Amino acid sequence: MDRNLIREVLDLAMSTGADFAEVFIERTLSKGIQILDHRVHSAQGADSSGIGLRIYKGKRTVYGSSGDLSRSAVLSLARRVAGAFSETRIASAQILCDCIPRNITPVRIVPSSVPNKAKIDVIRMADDGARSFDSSISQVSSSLSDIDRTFTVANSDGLFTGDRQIYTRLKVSAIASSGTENQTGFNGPGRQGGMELFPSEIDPEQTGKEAARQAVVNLHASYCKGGTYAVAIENGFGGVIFHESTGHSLEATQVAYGNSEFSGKLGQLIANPKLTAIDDGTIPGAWGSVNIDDEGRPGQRNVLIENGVLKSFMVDTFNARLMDGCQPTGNARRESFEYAPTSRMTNTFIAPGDDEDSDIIGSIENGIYCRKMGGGSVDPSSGAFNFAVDEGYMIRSGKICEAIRGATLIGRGSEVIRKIDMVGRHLKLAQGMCGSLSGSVPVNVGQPLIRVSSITVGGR
Amino acid sequence: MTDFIAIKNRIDRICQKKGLSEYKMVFSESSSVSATASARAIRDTQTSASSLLSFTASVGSKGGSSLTSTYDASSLEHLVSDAMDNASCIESMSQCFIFEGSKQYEGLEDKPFRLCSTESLAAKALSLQNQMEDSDSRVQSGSETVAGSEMGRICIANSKGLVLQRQYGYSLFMMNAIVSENDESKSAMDFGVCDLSDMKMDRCVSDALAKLHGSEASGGKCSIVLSSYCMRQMLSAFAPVLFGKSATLGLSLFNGKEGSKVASDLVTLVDDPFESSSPVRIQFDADGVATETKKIIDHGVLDTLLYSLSSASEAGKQGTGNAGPYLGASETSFFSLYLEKGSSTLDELLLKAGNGGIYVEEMKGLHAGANASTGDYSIECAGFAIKDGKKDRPLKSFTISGSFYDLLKSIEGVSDDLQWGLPSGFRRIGSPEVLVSDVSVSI
Repeated sequence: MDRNLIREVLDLAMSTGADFAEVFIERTLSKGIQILDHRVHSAQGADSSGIGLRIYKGKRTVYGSSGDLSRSAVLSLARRVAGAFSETRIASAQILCDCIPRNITPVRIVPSSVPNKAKIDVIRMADDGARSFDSSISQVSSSLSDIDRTFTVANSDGLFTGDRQIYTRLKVSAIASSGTENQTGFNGPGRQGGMELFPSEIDPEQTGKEAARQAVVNLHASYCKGGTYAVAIENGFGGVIFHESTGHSLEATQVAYGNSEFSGKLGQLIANPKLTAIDDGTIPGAWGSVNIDDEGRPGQRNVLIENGVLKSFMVDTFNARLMDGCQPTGNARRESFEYAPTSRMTNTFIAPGDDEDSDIIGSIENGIYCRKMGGGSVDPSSGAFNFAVDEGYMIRSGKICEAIRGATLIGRGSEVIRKIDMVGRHLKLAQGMCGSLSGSVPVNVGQPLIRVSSITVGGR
Repeated sequence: MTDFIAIKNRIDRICQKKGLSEYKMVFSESSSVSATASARAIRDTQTSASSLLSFTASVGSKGGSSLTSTYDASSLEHLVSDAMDNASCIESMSQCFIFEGSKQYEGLEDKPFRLCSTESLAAKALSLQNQMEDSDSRVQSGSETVAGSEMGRICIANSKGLVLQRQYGYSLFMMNAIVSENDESKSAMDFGVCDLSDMKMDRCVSDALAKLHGSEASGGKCSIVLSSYCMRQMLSAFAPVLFGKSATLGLSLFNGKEGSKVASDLVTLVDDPFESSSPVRIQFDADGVATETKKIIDHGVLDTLLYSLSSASEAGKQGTGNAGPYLGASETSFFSLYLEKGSSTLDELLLKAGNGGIYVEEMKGLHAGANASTGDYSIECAGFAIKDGKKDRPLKSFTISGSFYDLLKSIEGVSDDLQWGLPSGFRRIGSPEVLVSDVSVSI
C-alpha cells in the first residue's frame, strides 16, 4: 500500500480524538500438502491479505480489519474506527520514517518457489520412515506446511517498518494398532526457514520414525494409575509445563488487568531458586523468533524469572499503558491482520541448571518419567493448568521402568514452579502453536530435564 | 457486498481458457462488530470485514484447492493455476465430485439481518458489566463482558451450473466473571445468542462464587453427572469418530459398526442442519448436496456415520450431506449436532448418582487430553461433590479418565434440559446433562 495512503489512514483514524494509531498490512502465502494412507491426499495453497487498523485513546482501544486493500475500503475502515470516538483531534500522524530491522533468519530456499514434487519427496521420506518402523503401524498422516508472511507496520509516531517471516514445518502422526485398539504418536519439527532445512536440520526419515516409536510404545503401555507423584519431565516439549503453568500468566494481557496470579509480584521470590526462565525472541531460525514483533519493535531476550525471582513480564504497547513502569518487550504478536496484537510468548524456556540427568532420575523413589509431553491449557486467573503426557514411564527406586499411558498432569502455576527443585544441563527447544486472544502463533517451548517434587497425575 | 456472480463468471472464463472443465468454488464473506467492557468502562471495540474464495480444480477426478482473499485478474489466474497444480499431484483414491445439484433443498428463508451499532453494543456491554461488578464485591477487575454482532454468507458454484447461497446473522454476548477471596480466584461464564434486548446476566457471579474454597475430590471410580457444557466439549472433541472418513482410515472404532449397539439405550445423537433455534441453519453442504436431519445413534444403535460424497464413495455408502467445512479441502463436518434430551430432571440425575458422586461442571484442555484416534481421554475438571441428591461442596481440580466409547455405553441418565453452545461457522453442539457410571477420578 502506498505510504501516503497509509499516513492518510493514520491521520483520519486520529481525527476524533485518538492519541495513537497503527496500521498493519499483511500478505500471507501458504501451502500444505498431506500424505495419508500412503498417498498424496490433499494439497492446498492460500493467498490472503488485509489491513488491521488500531487506535488508542487513553486506556481504550479500537480495532478494525478488512480484507479489502483498495483506497476507498481502507479509508472507510479508518472512518469506522475513528467513529468509536467523537471528540476533537488531539494529535496527528507524524511523517513516516523507514526503520529496517536486522534479519536473524536468512532463508536460502523460499518454499513458495519450490514445486510440489520436491515437497512431496520430503513428506514421503517421513511417511516411509514411520511405516517402516514397526509392523503394528497401521496408519500414518504426514504433512509439510509452509507459510510466507510479509507485513508492514506503520504508526502515528512515524514508525514505518516491516518484515518477512517464513515458517516450514514437517508433521507426522502415526497410529499403532493391535487390531482392537489404536495408540498414537506425533512428531512435528519446524523452523523459520525454507526447504534448505531438509535434511540437515530436520531429518524427514527420523521425524517419521520418532512418531512411530512413540505410537508403538503407547500400544504396549498400561494405563497410568492416578495419584500424586514426583515427576521427571524431559527436555524439549517438556517445556510446555512452564508455558502453561506460568508463561501465560506472565503475559501483560493477563497481568495488566490484575488477572494473573503473578500480578504485582515483580521482584518477589515466586519460584524455586533453582528456576531461571527466559523468553527469547532473538534466537536465529527458531520457530518463535521475531526480527520485529507485530507492532514493529525488535524482538528481545527477556529474563522472566531469575533464580526464582520474578524479573519481567511480556508486554505489548497497549498493556504497557496500563502497567506503571513497564515498557514493551517485543512480544506483541497476532495470527493475522484480523487480530489486534497483544503480549504473547516467543521462545520460552527454563534455562539449564547444574543437576545431572542421572541424579534427577535416581532421586525419585516412586514417580513418573515424562519423556514426551502433549499440549495443555491454563486458566491464568486461578493458575490452574493441565497438560497431557504423550509418552511416560514409571520410575521405581531411581530406575525408569514400564511405559504408561493416559496420564494428565494438573496443578496450579504458582505452586508447581516452587516444586521444580532439580534442573538438568541439556536445554532443548520444541515447536508448538499457541492459541490465545490474538489467535494462533508459532512458539517454542523448552527446558532441560527437570524434577517436580510432587504433582497430581490423572489416570485410571 | 461482494459480487460473487461476477467473480464466478471471471473464473469460468479463466477455466475455459486453461481447458479446465471440472471445478467448484466456495465464497465466504463475513462482517462483525463487538464491544468489550471491563472495570466499569469500555475497554475496546472491534469491527471486521473479510472474505475468502476457495477454488477446487478436478483433474482426472482428483481435487486440488487454493484460496484467495483478493479478486483481481492476476489473483484469480493464480488461484486457478495453483489449484490445478495441486490437483495434479493428488494420488489418493478419494474422488473429487462436482455435483449437479440435489432435486430439492429445504426452503430456508434468508432473513434480513443488520449488524448492531458499535454504540448499542458498547452500551449493552457496559450495562451488563456494571451489573456484574455491582452484584458482589469479590468480582475482580479482570472480569469482562463482550457483546457482538456477526453476519455473513456462503455461496457455492461449480462447473455443472450449480449456484447456491445462504446468509446468516446473529448477535451474542459473553460474560466472564472472575471472583477472588483469600488469594483464590475462580471464574464462570454466561453467554447466549440472542437479540440485544435479551442479553441478560444470569448466574456467572454466583456460579464463580460457588467454586471458591474447594476441597479435594475422592479418587477412584464413581458416578459423575456431566454438565451440558462438559458433554458438549466431549462431543466436540470426539466428533471425528462419527465421520465415515475416519472409519475408512481405521481412525474410528465405529468402523463397520453401523447397525450395532454402540451406546446406552438413552443415547440418541442427532445432526440437524435445520434445528429451529439455530442461527446458522443451512440447506446445502460443501459439495452442494441437500442437507438432511439424521439420527447418527438411535437409542444406542449406530444408524449412520457422516459422509461427504467423496467419503461415501470410498466406503460404498450413500452421502449424508455432510461435506464441510465450506472453505478449503472438502472433508466431513456436522451442523447442529446434539444429544437428544431425556426425561430426567437434573435433581433426579444427582440423586441417582448418589453420595460419593461428582457433578462435573468444567473441563479444560481437551485439545490435548482427548484423543479422537484412540477414544481415550484424561481431562482436568472442576465440579462439586454430590450429597443427598444435591450439588454440595466445591471440589479442587481433578481429572477424569477413560474411553469415549465406554462413556457412551455407561450413560445411565439424560436430563430434560438441552442446552446449546455458541456457533462456530455453521456448526454448533447441544447436550443435556448426562449421568455416567463408573468413571475413573484422580486427584
